[in-house]
Amino acid sequence: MAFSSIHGVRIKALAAAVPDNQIQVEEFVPTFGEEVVSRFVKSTGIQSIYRALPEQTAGDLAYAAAEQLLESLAIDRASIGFLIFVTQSPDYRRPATACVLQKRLGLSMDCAVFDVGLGCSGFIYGVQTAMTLMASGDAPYGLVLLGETASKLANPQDRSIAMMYGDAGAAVLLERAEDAHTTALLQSDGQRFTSIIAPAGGFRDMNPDAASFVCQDGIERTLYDIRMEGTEVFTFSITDVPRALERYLEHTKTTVADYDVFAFHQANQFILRQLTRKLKLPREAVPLSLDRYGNTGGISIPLTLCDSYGQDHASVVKVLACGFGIGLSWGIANYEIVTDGILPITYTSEAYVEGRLKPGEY
Amino acid sequence: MDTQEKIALIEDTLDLDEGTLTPETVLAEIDEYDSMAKLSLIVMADDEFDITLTSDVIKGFVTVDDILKALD
Repeated sequence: MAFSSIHGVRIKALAAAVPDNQIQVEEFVPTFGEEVVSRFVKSTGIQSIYRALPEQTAGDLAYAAAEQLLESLAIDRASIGFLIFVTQSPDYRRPATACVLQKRLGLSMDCAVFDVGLGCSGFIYGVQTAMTLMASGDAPYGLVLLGETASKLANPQDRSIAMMYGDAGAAVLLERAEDAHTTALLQSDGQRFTSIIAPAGGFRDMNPDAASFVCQDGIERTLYDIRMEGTEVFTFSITDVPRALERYLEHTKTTVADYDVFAFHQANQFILRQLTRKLKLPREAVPLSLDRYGNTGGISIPLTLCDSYGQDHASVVKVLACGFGIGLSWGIANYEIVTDGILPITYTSEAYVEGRLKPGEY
Repeated sequence: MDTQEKIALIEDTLDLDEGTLTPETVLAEIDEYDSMAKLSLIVMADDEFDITLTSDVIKGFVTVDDILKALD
């Protein structure tokens, strides 16, 4: 479908939450050695990540962001017409985590709730889906929540992944605004679905042996661990992604100068530098949050905006956002956001312990 | 671009001194030829030659000559 344009809906507020558990990459020196760690920092720019606690889920992180957002804006929860939860780390194999979040947030039954299973492109896809629902429905507000705990799928011995993924959650509140318009470019390439994959644990290969084996990159993993074909993903990021950005600018008849900030998925610093260089973007207009938070998948766009504008008030930022990665899937969209609605990042150790059902309880 | 110029470009990309490489140089014997160097090669091929080096092509590189052929 490529391009999709929505009029009359805007992002009113953004919030992001990370686990209260910061890990410095130096802590990996005993596992990987000093050289591997220093090369990792040099190429990715990641110096620390926040990892979910064992009992903490993507739903918990999204919940913390949503509570912060709804409380600080004093939104009447009955006025929320839908909740979309974007995640690839659901709380359960079923039901959809969106249903659990509906209960926890106290939303009404006149609320459509569902999950969207995307990663790094999930913010763009989730918000565009939500805007379409807003445009066709009558609800005053709509919620898009995002949550990811990809670090739990990383083999602790995987030097390419273990230091990279940070866990996080985010909440986006949409409202009606007559003069608002968003154009999105949504693309995917399922041909490359194995580029980033956790092969086992789904229904294709539910319970295979958890023995580790040496992969082609020399790293030992089990079938349950996430693996990334680094070179392939890098090539995608510096060819397909800038091509899509150029196509977007051409289609929307806009130029780089029409945007205040380029909120790009925080894949790694080397990729972000290449995108900045290729598109001739002013370096200061491409904010980084991955140095402290790592690669947080689809949350990295709202997290970066909360990191940059969380303390800012009363200005309007013209954002060009671009998410790209697992799928492969990528999307680009523009948003005009009043910074009053961009909240500072919160830190949470909360977990929904009663959500864990035990034998004998049912 | 002739072979010598291409070699100079590869040396620059891999952060090597001029004259370090010949077409026969075996890549596995160069310390600087690590995963970051491979990513830099992808960027260089894309920028200078408009060629997309896939991971399969890169995996097949044994000598500098293999890189030169991929840039043709």
